[in-house]
Amino acid sequence: MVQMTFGEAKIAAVAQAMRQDERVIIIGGAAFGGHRYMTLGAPLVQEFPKRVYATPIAELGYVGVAVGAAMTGLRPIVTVSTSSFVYEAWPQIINEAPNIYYMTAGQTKVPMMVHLLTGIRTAGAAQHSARPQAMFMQTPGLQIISPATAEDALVMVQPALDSERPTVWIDHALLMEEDIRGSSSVQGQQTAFGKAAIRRAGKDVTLVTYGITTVRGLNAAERAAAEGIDVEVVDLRTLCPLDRDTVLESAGRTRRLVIADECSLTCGVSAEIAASVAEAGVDLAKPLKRMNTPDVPIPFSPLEEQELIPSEDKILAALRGVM
Amino acid sequence: MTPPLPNEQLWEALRRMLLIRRFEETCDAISHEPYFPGHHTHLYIGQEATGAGVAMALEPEDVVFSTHRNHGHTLSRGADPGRALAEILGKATGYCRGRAGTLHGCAPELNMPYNSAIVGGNLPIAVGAALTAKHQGLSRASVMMFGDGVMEEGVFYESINLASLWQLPIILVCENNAWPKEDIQTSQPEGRGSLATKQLVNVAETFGIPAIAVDGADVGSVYDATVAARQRAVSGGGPTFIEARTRGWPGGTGKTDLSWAWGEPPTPWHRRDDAVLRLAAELERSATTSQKQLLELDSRVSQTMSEALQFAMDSPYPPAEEAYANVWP
Ligand SMILES: Cc1ncc(C[n+]2csc(CCOP(=O)(O)OP(=O)(O)O)c2C)c(N)n1
Ligand SMILES: [Mg+2]
Repeated sequence: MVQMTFGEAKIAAVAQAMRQDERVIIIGGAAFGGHRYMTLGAPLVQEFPKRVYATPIAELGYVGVAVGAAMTGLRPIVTVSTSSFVYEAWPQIINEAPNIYYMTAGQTKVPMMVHLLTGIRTAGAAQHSARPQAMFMQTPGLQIISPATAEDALVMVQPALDSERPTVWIDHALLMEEDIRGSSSVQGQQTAFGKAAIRRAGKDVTLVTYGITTVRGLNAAERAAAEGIDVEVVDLRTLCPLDRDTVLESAGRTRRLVIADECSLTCGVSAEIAASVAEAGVDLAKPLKRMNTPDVPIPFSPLEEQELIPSEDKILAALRGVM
Repeated sequence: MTPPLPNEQLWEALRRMLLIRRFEETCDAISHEPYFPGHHTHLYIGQEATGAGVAMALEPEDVVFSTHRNHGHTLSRGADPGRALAEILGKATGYCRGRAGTLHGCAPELNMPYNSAIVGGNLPIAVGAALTAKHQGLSRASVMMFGDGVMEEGVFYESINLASLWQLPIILVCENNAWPKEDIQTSQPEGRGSLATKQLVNVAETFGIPAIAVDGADVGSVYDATVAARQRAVSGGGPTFIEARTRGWPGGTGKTDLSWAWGEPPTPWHRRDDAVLRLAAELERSATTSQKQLLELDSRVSQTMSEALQFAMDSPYPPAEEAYANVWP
């Protein structure tokens, strides 16, 4: 098992990718930690001073620059920091990058990665708490990774770059200090890129998670176990490709399903999982439950904000609710 | 030529500036307390003269827009410091019932209808408020207070182009707190890369917008420029660009002692760039004001501020269920 925090692991993964391939550059000052972990990316700047570009506050410009650089020989990793700022770059990331490979009949590739610190990080209010991942899922042509463990951060960056697809890295501002128990390799077998991982085997109920809800979900599962509920935690790891098979297999076995997702409820990641399970005709013993953020902008005030977060307690309550 | 600020107005300017200073020092002092949500603030220390000078040149019907660095803008517009601080603590008595917090501080009841924390987010919105005024023939200006960083965003250029093409009554106050450029604080978020031009006023002039650069730590200059800009706006003369230059506060200098104005300031920044000390020194040198009067003003303001802190601390949080209010189904 990897002995690193999540934050350390992702820097190590990016450093490794940069050592292996000199085409990999960073645009955006290596802001992998956001304002709370301002110095997290410093080792990258130190090791590769000429390959880390600090930028003006110009998200649309520098994401577009990354698209052009990727198309013509570089492998940019763009750090946007707080994910709300990616909305400023929407035209390039939604309307240009994902369409290029298809529109040129596979001739022009855009091998780039955009790193985003998403999530309700507390006191971020409505404009620093974005969870845009489901919007990206509505954009064919984008690959979306969401590593939740240090080990996954280490093993998922390189294949994402190797795929030469425009990739969005859905990170979470609160993951940085996590050193999750369990590993993505099951019995020494590394889970393939694009496959979900069963982080905890269980027979009573399937809990589908990714990113921060994997951390909360595993904690909730331990507490459920103490109450005699044996939870199987399925961590999606990538949102595109989306490993429906592992979810369907697990839910088919346990016949109970909870999906934990920090997106707003309507058309969130959980909606696609729920639809897939319904469409496949999985015979559930009880109606499935989605544990999402309600369809509400995120307030600044702490009690209101706590009310909306899909917390460990709420995931546990949802698990009880399907028994 | 606008008449310079008479003495009683300078006195009022100092009162507003001192209130901002004591407010921001309070935020700084409590920002690491567990009850302080988010533990970060964008303080207005060093820029008080710009906020006060602009606000004193405006009328209540003017519509004012701000940024993430908004505390000084709301206070100089006349916001109650207790309610302003309550907002920053997420309390129900805040100007937006704790929904906005430090990043989105505004006061709709003072014609500050909304605040974006996105760099450049409020600028086209302010141009829109100017469109309302022109379209409806209203005699009022729209005022956009923004940081130099906004000029790094593309939306700046789209917005000022519209404002100029349509000759809209807007005052664009660019608070260049990175002046001179060589002094840029390296602690800026995300390794700020900055702007390829140092001549901000030239950018506005290229778009046909009259532009002036003023010392943003000199309240009289800011006031004069704003009075002229407002006059242009309400008389159909279109937009004005004001660059208010200040040097960023180095931080970590604790509570300002007003007597540094005539004594020994602790740092070169305080000697050269501290707007509050500069105005206090100017007043102290004038025949009409004594050191004692200045210190009395400061203790009245400090008293107001400690009452404000008490009010904010004693105020309740909005209850959890209130999260669902103001949401459309
Ligand atoms: C679109 C966007 N990108 C990045 C940020 C993060 N950010 C917050 S303040 C700031 C610096 C802004 O500089 P400036 O406009 O000069 O204002 P100042 O803080 O100097 O008053 C940045 C980059 C943001 N809020 N919005
Ligand atoms: Mg600035």
